Amino acid sequence: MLELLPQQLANGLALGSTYALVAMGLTLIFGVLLIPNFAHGELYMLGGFLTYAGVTAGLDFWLAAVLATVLVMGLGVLVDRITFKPLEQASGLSLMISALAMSIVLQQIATITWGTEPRTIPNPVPGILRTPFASLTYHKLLIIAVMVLGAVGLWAILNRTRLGLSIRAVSQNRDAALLMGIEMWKVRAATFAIGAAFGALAGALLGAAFPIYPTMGVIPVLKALVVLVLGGIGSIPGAILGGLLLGVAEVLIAGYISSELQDIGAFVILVAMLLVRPQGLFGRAQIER
Amino acid sequence: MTRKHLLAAAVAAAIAGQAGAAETVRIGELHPITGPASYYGLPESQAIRLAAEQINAAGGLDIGGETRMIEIVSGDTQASPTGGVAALRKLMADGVQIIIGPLSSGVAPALTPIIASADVVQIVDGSIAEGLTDGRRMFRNQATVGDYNLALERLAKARGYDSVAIMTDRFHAGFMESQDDLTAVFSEQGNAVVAEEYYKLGDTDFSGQLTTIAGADPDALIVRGYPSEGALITRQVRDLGYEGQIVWEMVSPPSTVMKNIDAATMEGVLNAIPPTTEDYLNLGNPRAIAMAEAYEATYGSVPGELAALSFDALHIVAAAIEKAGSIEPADIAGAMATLTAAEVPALINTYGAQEDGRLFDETGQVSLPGAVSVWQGEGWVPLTDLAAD
Amino acid sequence: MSLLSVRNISVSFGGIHALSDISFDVPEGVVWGLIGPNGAGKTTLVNILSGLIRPTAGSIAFDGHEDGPWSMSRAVEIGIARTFQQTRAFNGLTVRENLRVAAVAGAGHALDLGIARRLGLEDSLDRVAGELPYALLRRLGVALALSLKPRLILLDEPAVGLTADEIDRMGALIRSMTADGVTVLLIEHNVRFLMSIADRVSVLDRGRLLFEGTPAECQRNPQVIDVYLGRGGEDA
Repeated sequence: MLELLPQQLANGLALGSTYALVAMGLTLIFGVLLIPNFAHGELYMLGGFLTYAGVTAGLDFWLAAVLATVLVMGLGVLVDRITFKPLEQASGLSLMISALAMSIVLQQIATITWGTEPRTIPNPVPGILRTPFASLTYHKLLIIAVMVLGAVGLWAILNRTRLGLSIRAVSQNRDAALLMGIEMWKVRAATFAIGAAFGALAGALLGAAFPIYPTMGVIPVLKALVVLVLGGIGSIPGAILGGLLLGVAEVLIAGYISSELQDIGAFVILVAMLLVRPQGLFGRAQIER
Repeated sequence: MTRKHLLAAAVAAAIAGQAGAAETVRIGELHPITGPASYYGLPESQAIRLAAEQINAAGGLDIGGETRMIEIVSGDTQASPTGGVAALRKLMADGVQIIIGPLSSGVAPALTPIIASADVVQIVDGSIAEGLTDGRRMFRNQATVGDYNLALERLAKARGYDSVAIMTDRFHAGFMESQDDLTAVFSEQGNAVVAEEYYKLGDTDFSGQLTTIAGADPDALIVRGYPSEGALITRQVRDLGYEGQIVWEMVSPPSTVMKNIDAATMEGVLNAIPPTTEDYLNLGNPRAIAMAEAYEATYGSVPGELAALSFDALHIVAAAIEKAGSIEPADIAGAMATLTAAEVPALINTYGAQEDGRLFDETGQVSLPGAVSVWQGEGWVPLTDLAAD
Repeated sequence: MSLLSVRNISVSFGGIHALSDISFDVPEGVVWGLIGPNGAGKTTLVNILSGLIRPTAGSIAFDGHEDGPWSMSRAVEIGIARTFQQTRAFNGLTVRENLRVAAVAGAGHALDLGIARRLGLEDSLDRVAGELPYALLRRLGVALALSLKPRLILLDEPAVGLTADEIDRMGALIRSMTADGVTVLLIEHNVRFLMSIADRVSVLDRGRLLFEGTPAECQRNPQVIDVYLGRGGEDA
């Protein structure tokens, strides 16, 4: 069994990268704007469907994926305007309800447009990388690579651009940021656009290996919420490490303990984290305001 | 005419409409018309409507000398137990007393207690879970999971697999219930079960389980569940370097399979289940061909793999109603229990008759022996010689 | 011509008049003091000027911009910055990053570390703002406002809680601002401190402008002495 460990770790990192990719967008929006954007899963789904639509219309996969991502970024901004902006003064509960409503609306739009029958996109990177220790499909390597590049890109935007500085300032102290003349609407739009981009990219890439259907975003968002609790809500490094941790844990539980316990295992880890370190790996302890 | 007169006329028309509706026989069908199993459920629902339209076009039902048309009332289970219960309650609230369905083995057990305590007759045309029938009010023209495994067990014996691994959808009540019996039979036959792994409907990453299975390198990997996951499992275990025989135990429309895997990777995969609509078409069954042609003409698509079962179920119900000469659930159920295959000439499936010639046994269960087919090119082909590679 | 021109500003919260018909003109390059007892409306007035709240009536003109009152981002854009009694900083960022937020993200120019030096923050640039001692945090508040390169800075009680030495230093700093062409509107409870550095003083009482003049005139005015100096003492 132990000789399979490198392969299982590789499996876990690949699975964890998909979790991290989805979770990064969710945690960014929550961390900066304190908005629980449950409609993130539907942005992920639309990333998949729009890529599918592009490929069906004859576009190259990469071009279709980029176009889908750009469209979903715009949609992310629109989702904010419709779903959350009118509730600026409302409680977190109202935001959650509004987010869930938007999820359902987007699922229905996809159902009306494409139907419930699952669709698939031909894999743009067929083939497998085989090494003495482990083998991974190029598709999984692509997802890991995009996750890493996405994380580096996000780091660069946040730390090396004026916009990123504004976003970080708002996430630190919204009132102070306004006093510094930072325009809130720009930060909101940028945050939603970047967050949506992560969802759309994940959807486009995973749609190249797995079926695309209107409710495909529900489970990834639930996993991303687990990741957020593990990593610390609002923390980008937390989303990455939390995602990888969850992926590796799920695979190791399925591989070494019992695949019947795969889901229970993830929630045991979640509960353990809440008991031992409720703020998550990278979270700061917060006092209820 | 005054407003009052208009209202009176409208009420009269409404009452007349209801009276007209009472002339029909309302038959409810419960299938996942939407949701993750709609690729089975919609064809099943449509096959029932097709059969009803054909019976109506031929003059309807002769019930004790009175002619009545069939009216189909649909309920959508969405392949979930709560959706199924809600749909059943709605049908019953609408006065429907004859139920065909459901499909899903996760849904069917949730409906059984409700139906058992109601004045309703049910024929299950999809679920293979154990314990759904009683021979009094609840019948099934689909195989049970025990029967279901027979073809698989014979295949493993004929091929003499030294080691097998089993990957089962743990949300599939039928497969989960029969897992122990299956492994016991395998062990008796000398097919050592080296790994038993599980997944669930909707999963997309199976790498943890499949790495373990590929590491154990069994002669055969048996996958029990639904075809979307079956195809992804097949692809992912091949990606991990597994080269043994892959055997599915699932109804799997080629269109669904091909959405999740390429034909080359599927080549040579075996499937051991009772025959499907596709199999009957491939075997040249004339009633299957006639049904498929009518289905395509009506709905513009090929009938699903399970459409033949649903088509048969409606014909069984129709024959039982005519035999009973009544639309009372108790009378229909009594007639159904004594029905022989010869009394339902429209049947597509070749059911094994009981010793006394009846279609259903004492528990309301048909006998539907399984068979093995092999994937060649872009679809399933019946495999006649089990031992041959 | 005055830099800031406040015309007939009134504001009421739920029927209570916080400010009634306030008008005054602040010329460029002065330190303008604003005093008054608690509840007189000083902070409300500063909140209006910096765009934090909207007045019920009245208009504001600033440096050729006639469109006041304005939003917070517009106030920063046209050159109005402010501090708070409790410094509002980015507690999780370092001092350097805080100043970059103000200079780069807010005002859109390069980071000027000269401001940090003037406020004695040069040794604390890499410290996280949330861990700064009180006096340094107060100075960070002023540095953030100055980093926006304002034409007018609104200082809300900058001397509160500071030691005598620190107060002297703050006074010198405020005077040096005017030398750089920054006009200062100063709210201060410490009347001695205010009188020592202000060029002109306005006195607010219960939402009304009671007096406007030089510090010397102010200290002699019987009404002012009555409502403010007389009641609260000089260090109220």
